Amino acid sequence: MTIDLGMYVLIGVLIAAGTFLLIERSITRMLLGLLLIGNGVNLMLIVSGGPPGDPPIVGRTSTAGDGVADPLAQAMVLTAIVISMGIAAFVLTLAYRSYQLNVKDVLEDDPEDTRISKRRVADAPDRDRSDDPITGEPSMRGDAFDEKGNPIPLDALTNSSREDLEAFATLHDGEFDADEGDGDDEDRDDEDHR
Amino acid sequence: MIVIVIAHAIAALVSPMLVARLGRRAFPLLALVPAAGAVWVAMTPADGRSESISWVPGLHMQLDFRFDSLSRIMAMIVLAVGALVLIYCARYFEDDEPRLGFFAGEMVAFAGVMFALVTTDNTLVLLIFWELTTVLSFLLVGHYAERASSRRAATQALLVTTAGGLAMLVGIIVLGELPGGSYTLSELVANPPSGAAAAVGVALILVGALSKSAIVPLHFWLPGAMAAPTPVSAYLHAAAMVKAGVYLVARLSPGFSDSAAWAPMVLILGSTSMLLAGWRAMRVHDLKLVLAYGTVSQLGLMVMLTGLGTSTAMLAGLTMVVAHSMFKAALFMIVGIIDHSAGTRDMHKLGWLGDRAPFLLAISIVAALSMAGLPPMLGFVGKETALAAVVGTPVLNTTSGWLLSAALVLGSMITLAYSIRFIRGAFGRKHLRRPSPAVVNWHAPDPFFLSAPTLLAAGGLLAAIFSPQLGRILETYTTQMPAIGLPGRARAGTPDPEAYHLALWHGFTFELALTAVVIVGGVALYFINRLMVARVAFAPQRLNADRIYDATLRGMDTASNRLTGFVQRGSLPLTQTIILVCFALLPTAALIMGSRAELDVVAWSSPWQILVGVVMVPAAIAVIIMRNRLAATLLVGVTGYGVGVIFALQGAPDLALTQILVETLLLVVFVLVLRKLPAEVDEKNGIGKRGPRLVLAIVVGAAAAAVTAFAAAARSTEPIAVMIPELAYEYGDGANPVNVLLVDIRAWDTMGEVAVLVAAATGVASLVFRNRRFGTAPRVADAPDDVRERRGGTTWLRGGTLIDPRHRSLILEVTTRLVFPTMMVLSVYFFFSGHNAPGGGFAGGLTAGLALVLRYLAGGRYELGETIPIDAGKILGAGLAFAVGTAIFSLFLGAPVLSSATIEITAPILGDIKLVTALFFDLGVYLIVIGLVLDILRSLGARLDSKEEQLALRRRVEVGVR
Repeated sequence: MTIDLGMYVLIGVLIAAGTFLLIERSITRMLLGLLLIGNGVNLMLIVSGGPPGDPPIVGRTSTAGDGVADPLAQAMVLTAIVISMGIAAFVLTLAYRSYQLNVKDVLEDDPEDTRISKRRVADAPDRDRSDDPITGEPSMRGDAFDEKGNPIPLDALTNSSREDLEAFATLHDGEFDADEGDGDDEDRDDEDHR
Repeated sequence: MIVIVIAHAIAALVSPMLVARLGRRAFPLLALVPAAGAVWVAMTPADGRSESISWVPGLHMQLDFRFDSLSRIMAMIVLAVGALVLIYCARYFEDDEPRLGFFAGEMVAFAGVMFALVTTDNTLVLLIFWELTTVLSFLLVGHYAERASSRRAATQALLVTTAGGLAMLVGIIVLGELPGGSYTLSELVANPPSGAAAAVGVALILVGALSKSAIVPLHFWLPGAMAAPTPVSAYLHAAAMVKAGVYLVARLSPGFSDSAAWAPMVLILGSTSMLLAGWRAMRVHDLKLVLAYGTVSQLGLMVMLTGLGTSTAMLAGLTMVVAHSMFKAALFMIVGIIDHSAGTRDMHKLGWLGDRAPFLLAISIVAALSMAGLPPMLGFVGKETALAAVVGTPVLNTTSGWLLSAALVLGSMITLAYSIRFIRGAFGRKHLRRPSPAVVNWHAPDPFFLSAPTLLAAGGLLAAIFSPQLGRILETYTTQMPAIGLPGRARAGTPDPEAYHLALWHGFTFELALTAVVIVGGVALYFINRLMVARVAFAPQRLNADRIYDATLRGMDTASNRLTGFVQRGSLPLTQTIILVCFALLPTAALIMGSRAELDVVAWSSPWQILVGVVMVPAAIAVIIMRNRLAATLLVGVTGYGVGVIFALQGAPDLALTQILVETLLLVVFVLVLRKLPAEVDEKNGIGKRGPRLVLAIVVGAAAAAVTAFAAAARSTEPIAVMIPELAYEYGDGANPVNVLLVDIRAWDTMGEVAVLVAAATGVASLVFRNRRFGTAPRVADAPDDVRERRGGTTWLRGGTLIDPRHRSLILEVTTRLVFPTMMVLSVYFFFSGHNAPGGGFAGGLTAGLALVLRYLAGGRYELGETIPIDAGKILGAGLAFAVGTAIFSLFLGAPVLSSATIEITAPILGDIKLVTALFFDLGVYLIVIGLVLDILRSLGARLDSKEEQLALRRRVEVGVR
């Protein structure tokens, strides 16, 4: 396929100018950049579809060139043109709202993203609130509930209620291994009677 | 078989209602379902009968069920233990237990899913049921959802077993897609594919099986899962779910036990689990945890036996599966009873329980004897068979054979030791002078509560007595086991030295001698352990699989947090820069490195193009420099019109028409908004310096143009576009292929596009109106009285009289009055002629939109309401309804979505009319475009006007007050 140099230069200029405008913070100028890029890309689709030709309508001819122009590329571009109008209207309204609220149509940094970059793992939203704030390991706080399902504050936990927590031992495996033993040695008899 | 699965599904669905009505008494009723299934399994011979429903044949997913002897054994365990556990639930829970209905449903569903898992013959369906058990296990383990430890245990079980399941999925696909592979289990085992890929596939499936069966190093989830209510532990984590892995190993063993990774994984990991978990069981002092680690240990043994690859080992493995299901479920239930009646299951707090509850002690001893492998229980029969199978096994070389035998003997000793420890820890007097407080408060369980564990414990004894009969059932599967040669030892086909049969008494054999050694060693080990635990304070373990799991999760959390923070800086220009740099560099690099087509360059194909380009290039460059918004917008408009002209030159009249209409409308929209914004853009809006930005822009533009040029030049074959016009005429009945493409061939695309337009219109309106969306533009009658009083004189447009006379233009009003009908007729013409000539719904709608713009500009906002006194939302909705309705209507006629048809009618006056149904779709598009324009005008136009007037009014009032 022959390459129409003039057209490609034009495409390059449109996209370059659009790109320059896109990397800005003014919403209006970003939108203008987007429209320029859109024009460039639409042109690109059509030009790469083939050289000029007859309109792809049965029975119509023109002097533009030999053969028939590519209808597939045209259908795609047609969709793109109308969509870009809808998008432009929407972005313009955004710019207007932004101007109404901030007296400038400028895009600020996203505070949410900034927050994420400064966040510790322990603050992540999927963390259990009962987990240890520093290590993120599960703590006893998450298991202490009275019969109605209300959480029991840690300091209100007596030693006796601690053992009612199911699977507490599995959480604190090592600590239980460090206990004195099976409780069957004689010197602990009296202790067990308390 | 399918009936049983469906019955369980129904029972699971009704159980929440049943429990809500009957409370815990619903459980025995629900137990009837698995019990009936168990009766069916007992009555049906395992003749390999199969049932099949076609599900997704394209993915080889068929609901194949096959009932052979292994399925029968497993199904019997699953259903019988399931029924007993459900009965046990009726006493374990109280009526007011929260979420009991869902719990019941999950348990019943689990029984059904597990039954389906062991009877299905399709590997993909097996995986689905496999994952269903995982999900149900997650729900059941997390039953006490308010406890953090429960949630954590549930998540851990889910993550570990799902990860294994994913590995398994890959393995299944590998085995299915290999040459000679299959998605049917029975075919896979009958004709096992060989080679490196098959070995990898089998290894991946084993990863899944071993993770499910809690084999080291993925064992840690099982002790954690003890956070579940005890019936769940008894059923899922002793009898049923963890056996799924053993089942799969037993299922694949006849075909794959000589696969490369099989022996190392199954034998080494199995025996490691047996020893390591057994050792852990001697350390912990929560009774449930003792059993949990004991389960891991026993699962290791079972995996090792069923995977060894001889028929005797398979026989031993299956005997152990049966025995373990009975004694471990019984022991779990006993612990549940202790927990329920004493309020604790901590060994340290129980003393003299045997004296308080002698019957419970009796059944515990019966079950524990089976666990320890002592006569006269089924566990003993299994252990004897295991010793016979492993010692001197023909499939291993001498060293590994001896190592495995030693591991088995040592493992049996440990098992005996922790069995003694369990009984003494739960029931012993432990040198106390009187019962411990927990035992003093003991309230005796009723006989119904005790029935399930009693039956299971007695089952172990009965099965041992009838072990020859049991053996004959099991041997129908185990004899399918070819005697297989593992690398380095006997070749496939070597028969076992002699056939081994199950029996309580084989005479004075070598195995019996080993059992005696095990008994002596086990008792000794128990006492040594007691001394060690009493004297030596063990340091907490540094290396613990649970800790590694925690650290892994934390590490992943941290990494994702860091990555998100690093990638998402929050600055849109920066993000865009990164994207654009990638966009410019990657394709260019590929272009430079890869092969390229020869460029056949001409300067221009039409001199007119150059003329247009000469206008467009300076305009595009000037946009960069302009700080004035309106000027920049006009320059962008110039490039837009230029593009339209080029479209026309290229032979795209439809595009040219639409582009020019859109460009005009866009200018209006810009002006409507820009009148509210300051004229100049702030100078300090850019990111970084202008120089680098300019470089980036030039690079991106050049890259885009170059890559497209080379892409276009690379075209070597005839494009499909050549055929489209003819096809469109033939099938779409339209002479304009672009329109046929839009409303017929690629109508889905257009459907998505109009949806975007509706969303954009709604977005515009809601951003401007903020709190309400509905309503028409104001009409003349809505105008405030003081404004209406001003009106007078002849009018060309009704709304025009309401405009401040200083802003009126009579010429515009007159022109509008004259031109508007013409434009509307043109719009309708475009719409109807679109199928055969340039035009169509988009062009027609845009023309009508422009006519509306004209009315608004000439006559003001009240004129807009007079022009179309209908809510824009209704027009958009009607358009969408037309588009979607056409799409769906073709479904009713039995055609695919969005098919079009041609109807020819002969009308009296109009003559022959050819109607393509795609026209209705186009009508939807037409209406949506009008709705969009109307929404824009009434929001950005009329609404902003009135705000301005209100503001001006307020200002005037303020001034007046002063």
